[in-house]
Amino acid sequence: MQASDTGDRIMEDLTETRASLCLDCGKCTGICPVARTNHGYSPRLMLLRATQQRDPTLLKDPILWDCLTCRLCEERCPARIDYVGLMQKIRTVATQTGGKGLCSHGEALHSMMRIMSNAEIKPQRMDWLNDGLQISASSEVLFFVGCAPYFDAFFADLDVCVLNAVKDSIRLLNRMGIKPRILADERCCGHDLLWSGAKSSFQQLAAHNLELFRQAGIKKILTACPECAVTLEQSYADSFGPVGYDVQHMVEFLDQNMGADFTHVRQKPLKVTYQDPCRLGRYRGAYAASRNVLRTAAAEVVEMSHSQRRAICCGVANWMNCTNCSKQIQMDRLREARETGADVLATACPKCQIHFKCAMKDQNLGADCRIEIKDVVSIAAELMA
Amino acid sequence: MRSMSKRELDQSNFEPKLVAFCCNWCSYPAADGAGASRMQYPVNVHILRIPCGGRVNPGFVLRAFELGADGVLVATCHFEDCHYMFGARQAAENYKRLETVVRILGMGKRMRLEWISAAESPKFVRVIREMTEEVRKIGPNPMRLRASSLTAEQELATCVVA
Repeated sequence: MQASDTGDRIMEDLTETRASLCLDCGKCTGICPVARTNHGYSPRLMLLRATQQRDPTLLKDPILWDCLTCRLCEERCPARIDYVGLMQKIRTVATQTGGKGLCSHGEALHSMMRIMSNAEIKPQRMDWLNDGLQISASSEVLFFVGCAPYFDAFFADLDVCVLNAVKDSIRLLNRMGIKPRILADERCCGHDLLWSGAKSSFQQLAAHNLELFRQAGIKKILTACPECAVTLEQSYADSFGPVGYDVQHMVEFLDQNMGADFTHVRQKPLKVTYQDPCRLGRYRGAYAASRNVLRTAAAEVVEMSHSQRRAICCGVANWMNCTNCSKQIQMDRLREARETGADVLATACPKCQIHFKCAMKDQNLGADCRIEIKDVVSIAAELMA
Repeated sequence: MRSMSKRELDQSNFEPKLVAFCCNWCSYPAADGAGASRMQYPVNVHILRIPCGGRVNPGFVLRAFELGADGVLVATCHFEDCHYMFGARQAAENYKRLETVVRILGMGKRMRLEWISAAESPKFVRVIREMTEEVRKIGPNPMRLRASSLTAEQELATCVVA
């Protein structure tokens, strides 16, 4: 592709994302968790390379894939630039011109997601369902399981139990008298492919899922993954127009519907600190929901020094560019969690759980970085009779 | 490897394409020995020589399936024979994680892990024969069924491999 052509395509994106309004103040770089550990990365410079310099080498630069798309910079930006939107667009162009980030795990997860984008495959992903969980074949409320079965299998050595949060969600829903529907042929929501620039694979996954939801007459979708929630609602609508269903993350739903009969007293007090997942917090603005659910579950919530709008990401996004800088971000965050004196680090995102557990797998890691990690939904389900 | 002609799609004419990851120290010499001793085995297999079975990242196998392999064989040394002491165990560990993922993707029967020492050419031949027949019965990899379902990124991935 010609440099000028690429430049034009980026130029379109600049107006859409307000990137041309950059004041060059550098607050984004000041707050960026990646820039803090990886001194070669600067959101401000990235933006300038795209806007003023219209630098075509940006598309081949591996640094393009370092952004965690955590949106922390956008909290500070006085020009209200949609920086992560710009990243997504530049990455899409870069992918089309052969640029690529460094995919973790030998690209296994990306391959897996791209395989799922083929409608012809016949996944067998319902093994985890057991008799204790009541589901319905005709409900209009869908529980979107997403990649949980794959993650549990792939990260078995990390003791990752994403499916536990899914099972606990369904148990809680059953307790509220809701029998959700589970679709056997649902696919990955496509979040990671979209944000790593693989837009056409994303659109295939989205089209498959949307058709499935339409045929099943789904009116409401619940999920235990913030990335799925954002993608199913926002990204699908961006690509395909109005979606015709409501999406809520489980903690948002629990916050609204967990009645007083759920309140219990813990025999042993539980002190919890909460890691705000970027997609649930800064993307969906659901800061209070998880904390309310934790309090309803009789846990004492203590805050880390960076929390809510200022929360720091878990260090890796889209299974890409996982480096020693990611590790540093994770260690700093785990240390922060320990400093609160909490027994448990609660999170509402499977990815946060996976990344922190992976960081703690390091045997040289000191005790100041070790803390038990649990899903908010699982903590809420603990006290359920 | 990805596109299939109508003739190929016809089950009776379907010739599976297998990818075999063979370790440099045992399984590859076993395949070599099979050739040198003029043992006959199906031509459906593409052998990839790798330094050690432990090098087979789950990503390799998934990529092979993504690009249309009908079956994938991971062949390593026996545990006690491994040239690098722990490589074969590493291969088994990797395979265990991979196995569940591939099963959930609905391709579990297309994959096999075998321990073939350098002296076991007949075993190599037997495994390839068995696998070819098994995969022939299962039919083509769904990833090959519809060329139009390949996305731009998969096309790119194919270019890189070619």
